[in-house]
Parts: sequence; structure tokens; C-alpha cells
Amino acid sequence: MSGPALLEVRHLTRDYKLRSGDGLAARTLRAVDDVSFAVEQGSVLGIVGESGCGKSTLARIIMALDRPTVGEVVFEGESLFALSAGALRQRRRDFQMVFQDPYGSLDPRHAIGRIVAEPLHLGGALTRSERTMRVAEALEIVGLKATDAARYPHEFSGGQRQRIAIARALITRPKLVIADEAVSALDLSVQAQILHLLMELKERNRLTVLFISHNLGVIEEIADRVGVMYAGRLIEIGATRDVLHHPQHEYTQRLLDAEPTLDVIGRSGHRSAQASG
Amino acid sequence: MLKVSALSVDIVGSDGVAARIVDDVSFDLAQGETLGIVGESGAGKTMLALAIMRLLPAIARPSGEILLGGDNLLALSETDMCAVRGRRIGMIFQEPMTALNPAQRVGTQIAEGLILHRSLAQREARQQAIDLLERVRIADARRRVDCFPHELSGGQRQRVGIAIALALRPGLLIADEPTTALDVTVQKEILDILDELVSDLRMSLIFISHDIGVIGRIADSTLVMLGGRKMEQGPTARVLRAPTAAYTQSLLAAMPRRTRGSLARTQEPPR
Repeated sequence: MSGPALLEVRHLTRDYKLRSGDGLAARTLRAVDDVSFAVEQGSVLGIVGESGCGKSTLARIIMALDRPTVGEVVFEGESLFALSAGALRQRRRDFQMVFQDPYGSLDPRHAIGRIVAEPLHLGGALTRSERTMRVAEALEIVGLKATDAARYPHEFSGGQRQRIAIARALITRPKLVIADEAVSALDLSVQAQILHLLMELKERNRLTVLFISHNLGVIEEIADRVGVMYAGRLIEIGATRDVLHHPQHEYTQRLLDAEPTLDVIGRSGHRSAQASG
Repeated sequence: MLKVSALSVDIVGSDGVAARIVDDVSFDLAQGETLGIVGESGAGKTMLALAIMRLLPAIARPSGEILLGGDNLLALSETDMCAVRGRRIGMIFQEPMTALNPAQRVGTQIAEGLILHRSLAQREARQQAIDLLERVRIADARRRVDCFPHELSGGQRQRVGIAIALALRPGLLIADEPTTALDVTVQKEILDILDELVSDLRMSLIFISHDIGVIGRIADSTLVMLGGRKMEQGPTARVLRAPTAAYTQSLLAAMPRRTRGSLARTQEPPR
């Protein structure tokens, strides 16, 4: 790591108490287990793993939407959970989130302008014209038009909606954006456009991105470094090239092997792994 | 075994205006062959599958010909079609959670077709359900047969979905995005199972997916769809390595480099 860390996560652990049906023995589920890493300013850290590995719980804690059982989240040297409620509120404009589902995450009854402007309440009072300007600026950054502010979510395609969600995340001019499976619901051609947009934002605005995905191909496209999660633990982290080409952990290798690529086409290649062929 | 000729599907709105969502699609499927159908959302993939099963919504009007072993499915009565569904064509759906009845044990759901179509007694049907669960590699099938869907993982539920589709030994399986909701390691297991079934039982398989990597892995031949139309069709290796349609080329170019594999050196993603 060369530059200063924008975000540092130290020994994060999150336990959930599970109530059993009969109300007797309550079990504890450790969703995130002693996870530590740092993200350099202006870089993209990919987090990859399968369902239930704790990726989204990790994202919620970093966004301060949930508290860890143990550990801390340090943002520009400040421990988020040590901040007062007011100071944390001020801080929230520095980290924003883009969710997976571009249909579920935009309120269908609100115009785009209102949706995109929503995080601005974190930043204190703005005049009406300042708000309009900020909305226009955010929409233009993601390749939409300022006039789109007057339209409604149903008038946009899935890819455009995800651009709107990104505009909403960018409007507070955050330093960190967490994208949780932000391209998973999109068609391939649209997915490529959104990835390109995120990479452009990184280059141009020095945006730092925590990019969560189950898709190794997508992670390789966008991430400078990648961490692999399995059963709540961060089992491996390193430069994307190293992790994907020389995995240290058996599970990472298994993930890489399971992902279909066009290097092997057809059932013969597929079945060659089986003795009976 | 299956011959689809000039199949079109129109959706007729309340104003009488028709929208063509499947447009003049033709293909042949041989016994024991796997056909992959690939395309993005709205390409008409699912409508094509539903047309073959005659499960289209009431506002949809199919035209053309779907010949299954000599019978034109579009001309069959609903009663005759009921004998085709399950017995001659099995269907596997994307969402293993919603495709299964949450209130019924999985064994009961697998046995339903056997009791209805084959007039098997409860006990025999149960034994066959257990055999089918073993066939789709569910460990401890004798115990799992009495589970409810919520007690199973996503991958196990999809295996149950395959067992149901398989129960009456249909000659043709149609799988609509069967692994899209699953993790990659589980997806690999499901693909292995489907592959084995097709080889061992000489079944034909129509495998619908938006995922070119998955299609490349399982399909003998591949049909690419866009806007209801067939863009191209051919042996999978030819379609994916030397596509003739501009749309197939742009789809391949949009794939992440890793998934494109060796193709990555020759094609650059769109700007």
C-alpha cells in the first residue's frame, strides 16, 4: 500500500443472536469474523464471496448502519463508532452506498430530482437553486441530463436507474462509495457501461470504491485489490492480479474453478474432470 | 425430436394492437442434444420456452409450428397438452424457492406426477422420489424426502426442481435460467448433474440463460436472441469463437475479460 488509508477496518466481528423456534437454546451466528483491511484513497477494493459469507453485513457496518460486536471502522483516522451522533451524521456525507436492485432502491412516487437530492440533508442548509445545481451536476457526471430530474423512475431502463442510484450516492461528493452487487442485476452490455463509469469516477475524481460482488470476472475488471470472504472471514487479500492468478487459499481456487469461462467450450471439456468422461 | 418452425408470439393489448415478442424463430433439436438459448432481458427467451410448454399468458397468441415427435403442440387440445407436460417435456424454473410449494414436503411434490400420470401407489411413488433425489445427488435422500423446501438450501431446492422435472422421464427438458439464482460453486454442481442426465438418459435439453459462460459450458449448439428474433445459431464453439452476428460480437465484447478467456486478446470491451 503506497498512499494513506482512507478507510481502515480493524478486527470487525458481528454476532447475531438466533432465537430458536421453541425459545430455548439461543444460538449465535458469527456473520463477520475478525475482518481487518485498509483501503487506499483513490483505489477500488473488491470483496468477493458467495451468499451468506458476510459481504453485505460488512458493508452495513462500514456504512454505520449496523454496529460491530467487536472491532472498529476508522475513516480518515477517526473511529466512526466513537463519534457523537451529530458528528457521525456530518461524516455520513463522506461515504455513500449503491445497492443491487435499481428497481427496489428508487422510490417510484418521487421524481428523480428529489431522489437524487435526498442525501443532501446530511450536508446542512442549501438554497433551492444550489440544490438544483448539485442535482444537475450529479446527473451529468453519470451521463444523464439535468432535465431528467423532472422524470420518474419508471421512465428509465435498469441501467439508467443504476446511474440514478450512483448520482444519488455522488451528490454529497463522498470520498468512499460502497457498491453492493451494483451491477449484478444488469444485462451484460449495461454492466460493462456501469463498470466503465465507476472506473472513470475513480480516475477523475479520486473516488475510493468498495466493490462487493460474487462475480470474479467483474471484480477483475474494476478492482485494484481484492479480498475473498468465506464464512464471515476474510481468508485472503491482495493485488487483484495476484489473488486471481496465484490464489493462496483453497477456497479461492475453488471459486475460480467453478466460474465458467469461454476457454473451455462444450461438454467434453466440462466432463474431462470426471473419471468416467 | 423437436422441430420449431416460424414460431412467433404476439401480445395483443386491450386496444387491439399486437406486439411481437417472439419473431419467426425456427430450430431443430436432436435426441440427446443440448441447445443453449442466450440473450439479454426482453429477448423473448422465456416466452419461447413457455410457448413450447403451452403455458403462455392468455393475452399471448402463438403462431407457427412446434413439432414434438410428429405432434404439433400448438394444435393439441388442452387435455392432450396436459399429457405432454411432465411426461414428454419437463420444465425447470429459475427460482427454486417459488417453483416449489412451500407447504408440501418435497417427496410429495416429486411423487405427485408419478401418482397422477403413472398411477403409482403412495409407497412406490415415495421410493421413486427417493431414487430421483439420489439421482440428482442429494445426500441422505431417505431423510430429505420428508423435508419442506425451507429446510433445504438453494442448491438442494434446485435439485428437487430437477427431480420433479425428471420424474416421468420426459425426452425433453427445458431449463429456464436454472442456475442464475445460485452461487458459482453450486451452479457448477447443477451443471454437472444436468450434463450427466443428458448423457446417461439421452435426454434433449433446452438451456436458457443470459450467461454466455454457462452456455459455453453446457450447450452443443447455441441460439442467440435479441428483441424476439434469432440473431444466429450454430455449434456453440463456432458461435462463441467466430460469431457472425454483430450482436453476438457485442455481447462477447461486453463480457469481463476473465470470463471471455482466450477471446480477451482479440476483442476489446466497448467504450
